[in-house]
Formats: sequence, structure tokens, C-alpha cells
Amino acid sequence: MDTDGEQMTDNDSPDDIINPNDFKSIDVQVMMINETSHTGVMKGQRMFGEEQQKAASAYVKFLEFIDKGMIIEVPHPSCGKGHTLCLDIQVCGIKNEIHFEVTARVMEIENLDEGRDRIKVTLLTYDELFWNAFKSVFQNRQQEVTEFFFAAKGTEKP
Amino acid sequence: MTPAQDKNEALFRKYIDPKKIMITDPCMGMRAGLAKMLTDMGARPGNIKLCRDYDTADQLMPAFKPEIVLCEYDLGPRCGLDLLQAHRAANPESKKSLFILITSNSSQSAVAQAAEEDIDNYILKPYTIDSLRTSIVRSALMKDYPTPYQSSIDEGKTALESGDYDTAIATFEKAMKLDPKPTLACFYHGQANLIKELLDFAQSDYNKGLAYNRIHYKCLTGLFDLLMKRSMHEGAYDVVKRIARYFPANPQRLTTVLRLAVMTNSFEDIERYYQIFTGIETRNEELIKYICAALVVCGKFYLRKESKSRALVLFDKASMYAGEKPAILREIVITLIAANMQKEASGFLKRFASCTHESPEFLAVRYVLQESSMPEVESIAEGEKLLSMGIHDAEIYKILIKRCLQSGDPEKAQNLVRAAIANCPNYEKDFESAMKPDAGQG
Repeated sequence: MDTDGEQMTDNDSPDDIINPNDFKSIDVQVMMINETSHTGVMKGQRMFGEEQQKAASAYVKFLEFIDKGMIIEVPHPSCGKGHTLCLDIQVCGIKNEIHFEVTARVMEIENLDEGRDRIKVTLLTYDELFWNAFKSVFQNRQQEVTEFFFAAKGTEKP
Repeated sequence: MTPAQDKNEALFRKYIDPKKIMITDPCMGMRAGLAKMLTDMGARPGNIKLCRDYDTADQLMPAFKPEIVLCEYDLGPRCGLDLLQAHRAANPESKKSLFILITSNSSQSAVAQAAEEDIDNYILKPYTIDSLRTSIVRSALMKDYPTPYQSSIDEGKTALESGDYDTAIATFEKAMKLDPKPTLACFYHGQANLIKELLDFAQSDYNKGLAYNRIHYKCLTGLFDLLMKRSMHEGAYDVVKRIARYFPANPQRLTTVLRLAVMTNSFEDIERYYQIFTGIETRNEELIKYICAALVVCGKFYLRKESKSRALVLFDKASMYAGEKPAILREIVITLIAANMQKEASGFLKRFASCTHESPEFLAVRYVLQESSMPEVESIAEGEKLLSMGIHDAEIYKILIKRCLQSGDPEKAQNLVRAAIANCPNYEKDFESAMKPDAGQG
């Protein structure tokens, strides 16, 4: 959706009025394999051997970007401090989907209740182009959201 | 951190120190991370409540009365914006409380809904901690240290709420000079004029606001309501299309678009809305009902234009979604019978879902369709039987009136007209014309 007031027209076509894309959200799926312990995360369980290849993303949650790294939430116990993780990251719900892998080291682990750990990882090997594109997806969408949100409200941007 | 950021963080520390905070997010790691960040920024850990779902937060809200709510949009079957209502109810007087969505939902529909609800900010996950801190600090400080423009608007709103409309208008006029794009001031100026019944002035205010900012929600909805109030349907249709384009989440609004498309004879628009409707995964019952109804109206229009095949295509589309909505199928069958398309009407009768075969609509249209092949006495008996079952369908009355006249019983026909008008007052003229001398001949 074009939210730039200067580019808008009043000739709204029905396609603009009910646009299925308006109901789509960006989705990040992360699969994790612990290279140190040779386990993966799938359906909240630690998996071994062949099964780890199927490690599913629903139980790895991407929380925050940090400088050359990220904070994610994983089932407890999936890894220890200093472990090396292979993370398969897929960004869906955008025009050009992004799919790439990184390896990362576990720097901090915070054990939460409910069988979850919040872990901070820094990147070891990664393709800078993909990583920057990944970050840009969210930065750009946040910028669009902020522009639209405060224009619609008619208040100043904070 | 720049000196300005330092200063803001210091002000925020003072702001947040006494505040009660609620964080609602299904993700434990998110709740923990946000609580830690706010504690680092000066919040007291004892003042923070963490909730994993809507129900927990909703139960806690009235007693805890948080002044800051950070909330995920997607809370299982409920939405974070539902919590906003509970928050406003718990803090009706607090203009300085903050409600911020921090969410993975980046869809335009969610953002637009949040803007409509006038929450304080919309922050996407995943974020960087610095960007999140900055957004929260700025949102809070705007509440605590409003600009002169915002202060004037708040002052005018207070005057408006107390019924002092002239003071309110003067204050909004003052506000208009304090901002290069004073859309909000124009809106409230329009509201004051609307209350004073100065409709032309109010319309001009909303248009002026939209000239500064064409997606301003309040001006758009204010203008729409005003045009509807003035029965200016063409203009209202244009405005509601624009609203629906930028604020797509509201099914009620989509139904208004459809209704106005019908009222303004924009039938080609309806066909295209249907195409797009089929692509939407999350259709609610209300939207389905309205799109079916709009397709039927559209089909009737083409039938009147002698474009039978086009009408049948539209009826076909409507019936696909109307299996368990007998009112839609009834309308189609009755319309086709009236157009002497009995064969096609019989086809649509078969589309009633079996669970609706006892419904008044099904029983009525089956009778209407089959009675022409019945002898007079049988037809009257069948029709009366349906009436005695409480099925007061206008079409049954029309047939009975006609049959009674044909059988030479005008007194009974007259009694039926009276009963028909009492039960189906919208069809009064139809019933009266059925009593005219030539009506019983055919």
C-alpha cells in the first residue's frame, strides 16, 4: 500500500479497496542446529541425528537484533554458553523472500520459566548481503508503519 | 548517546519512576526482555506486571490500573487492541497513560486498525533495543511535554466537551496557526461546527484537514458521516472507498462500501469487489452476507437490463457462499420467478443446504415455485397452511390474494391484504395492486 500522501490518487480502484496483501504480515522462521552438541530444535524437543535436519522453526523465536547478532528464544536446554549454532533464517510474507544460513556463538543464556531460554548470540560466519537485507526488511517496514501511523492519527512523529 | 538523548532519558526516568506497567506478550522471552529494558530505564521492578495472554491481562487490568501498557497485537483468539478498551475503562481520566503495541504483526490491516484506535505507537518485532528505547521515550515525553499545538488542541477539546463551542472554535483556530499542517485542529474545528449544525463549515473544515493530510482518519470518517447525514451518497461512496483503501481491516466499513456501491448503482465495482473478496483468506460472516446481498442486487440490475446471462453468473456466485443463508437464496429464486425464469429458479432451489429445508425461506420459495401447477383449492390450502405455521412471506400473501380473486372470493382476498400489510408492511403497494380488477386474471 502506498502511504506517501504526495503519490496518492483519488481514483481508488476496487483492487485497492479490498487488497488481500493488506492482511499479510512478515514472518521470520528460524531453524536451529547446535553444531557443538549435534542437536536441533523441533517441536520443543531436542532432536538427534537425521531428525535434526528437520528442526522446525516454531519453537525458535527471533526477538531482537543486536550489533552483529541477535537475541532468540529457544526451548530449554538447547545449548550452552560458547556453543556454536547453525541458524537457518527464512523471511516470508515479502515480495522477495530471503533465506540464508548463519553460524553464531552463544554468548549469554537466561533461563526463563516455562522451559524456555533467552539466548544472545553473535554471528561467526554469515553473508553480509543477506544479513543486511534481513535487517533492512524490518527497518524499512517500521519506517513505513511509522509514517502511515502518525499521518493517519494526524499527530507528530515522536 | 547524544546530549539530547541523555536529557530525554533523564526526563523519562523521572516520568516512569512511579508508573505502573503491564507487559502482555505470549512470548516469555519478550516479556522478560521488555521488563529488563524498562527497569534499566528507571521503572521499579515491583511496578511491572507480566501477562502471557489476554485473559490474564484483562482480569488484572481493573485492579492494577496500569499507566503504561506494552502489548503484542496477536494474543491468540483476542487482539491486543481489545485490551485497549479494558485499559481505557480502567483509566478513564488518564490522558498521560501510554498504550504501545510491540508486535510481530506487520500487516497494513493491523497498523491501520491501531491508528484508528489512536494508540500511542506501533513498534515492530524484531527491533534493536536502541530503536525501541528511543520510540518509547519519545512517545512518553510527547504525553508529558506536549507541543504548544497539541496543548491548544487539548484545551479546545476540553472546551468542546464542556459545551463551550465558541471557545473551542477560537482555540482550534489558534492551534491552526501553530503547526504547518494542522489537520487535527481542522478536524476538531469541524466537529465544533458540526455540533452547531453549521454543516457547510464542518464539511469545509474536514476537506481543509484532508488537503494537509489526505489519510487523516478522523477527517475522513468525519467527512463520511457528514455526507451520509446530508444524503450525499456519491460523495460518501468516494470517501468510504478512500477510507477502506487506507484502513482495510474493518469489515463493517467494507459492508458500507458495498451498500453505497449498490445505492450509487456502481454495479461494476461490486463484481470486482467479489473477485477480490474471493482472494481474502479471513472472511467473516458479515462480509460474506454483504457481498452475497450486493451480488444479488447487482444481478437484479442486470436482469432489469435484459442481461440474463450476466445476472445468472452473479446469482451463481452469490449462491456459492449463501448455502446456509436462506434469505439470499430466497431472494434469487423469487427474482427469477418474477422474471419468468422458472427453470433457473428451480435450479437455485436445489442449492438450499439440507439444514435449511425447514427454514421459512425455503418453504416459502418452494411453495411459490410449485403452486402454479396446483389446482386453485390446493394452492390456497397450501398457502394458508404456511401462514398458519407463522411463515408470513410477502410472496405467499401475493399468491393467495391472486388465487382468492380468481376463485371469486374478494372478501377473503381483502382480509388477506389486511393481514399481509400488518405482517409485511414494506410490500403494502404490491398487496393493494394485487386487488385491482385485472390482477386476478393472470
